[in-house]
Amino acid sequence: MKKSIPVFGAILFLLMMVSTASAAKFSIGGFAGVNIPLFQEDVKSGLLFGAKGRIAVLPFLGVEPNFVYSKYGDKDFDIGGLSMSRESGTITSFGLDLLLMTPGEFSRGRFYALLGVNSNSLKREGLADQTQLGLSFGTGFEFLPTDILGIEVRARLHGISLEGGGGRNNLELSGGLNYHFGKE
Amino acid sequence: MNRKKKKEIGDLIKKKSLWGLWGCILLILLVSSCFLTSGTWVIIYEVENEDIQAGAGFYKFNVDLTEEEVWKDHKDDIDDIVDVSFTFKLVNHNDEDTLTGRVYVSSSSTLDDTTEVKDSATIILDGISVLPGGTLQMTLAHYYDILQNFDILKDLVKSGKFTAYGIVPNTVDMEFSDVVVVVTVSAGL
Repeated sequence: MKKSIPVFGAILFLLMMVSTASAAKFSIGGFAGVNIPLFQEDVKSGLLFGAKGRIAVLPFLGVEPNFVYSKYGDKDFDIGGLSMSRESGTITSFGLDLLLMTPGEFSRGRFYALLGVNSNSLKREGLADQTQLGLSFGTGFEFLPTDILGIEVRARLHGISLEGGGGRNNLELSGGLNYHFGKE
Repeated sequence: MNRKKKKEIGDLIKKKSLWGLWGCILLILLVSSCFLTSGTWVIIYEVENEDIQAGAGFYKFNVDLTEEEVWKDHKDDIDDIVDVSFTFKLVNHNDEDTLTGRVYVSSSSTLDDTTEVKDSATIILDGISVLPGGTLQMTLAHYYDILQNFDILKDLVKSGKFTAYGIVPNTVDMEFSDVVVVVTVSAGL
């Protein structure tokens, strides 16, 4: 993770430069929300937070490098009449999402669908760390009360492959703020 | 370049971008179809106290997950064993000596003494210790602090059947009971 942060920063910086040079619209933002495991009996919902940049390469198409840190909630099991808790682990994800956006602004807001790939580092007490490929699909809406500030809500399905086969799928519900540079 | 030409080029870029996008979506969906349709299920397997066999300095019990409902439901599409843990209770009836113990696992259920177990089975828990007159309830939190050889344990569990052996000093008066094995499997929906 320590190595990935400078890489992510460099990508973000590069995108800002490209964005400025090409006068494309660019934004950076932060978000937080809840990570809901789907079809996973061994973990519970937990919190997530992250950061992202977005560059509109075409009026309807954007690319979004992103970082997400999410945690599963610890699960309690009834074992032989005793309640025992199992630490559920964390996911640190670095990825790139492709956004298909409604062209232009509609009532100072826009809907979008997203599709992305990501690298995920899974950590859990007692088990070996693993770094695995993940995919994300989702949809979101950004409301722009001013030209520079966007308020965004998003639902993202985040699937992560596991080392021995199979995977973990999570529904990430988040909200956040974006700061916009440049004009469309 | 006139405005019409510019519009034509713009339309062409849009068209090509959309085709590229759909291509990417299809490719990703094909590659990911396996892990996007899987989940995790938990089996809580309780070993009856009367099924724990005691010998000189060792205890053993068989684990058969193949008769569990979750296993039966997913046996054809189990991808991996995600997690395995053991909980149990140890009571040291001795007033002077500290009880120490280790847990081994094997695909063989016919190991009958400590030497055979040490030679043939795989150690997964070491450093178990119970003070004189004391009781240890092995919890999930404590278990992961002393767990080792998890990959070998996972492979054994994936077969559905295995045997666990507890090695203790044969001079200590003790009780080994309330064994529960918790297994998390990753399988198709």
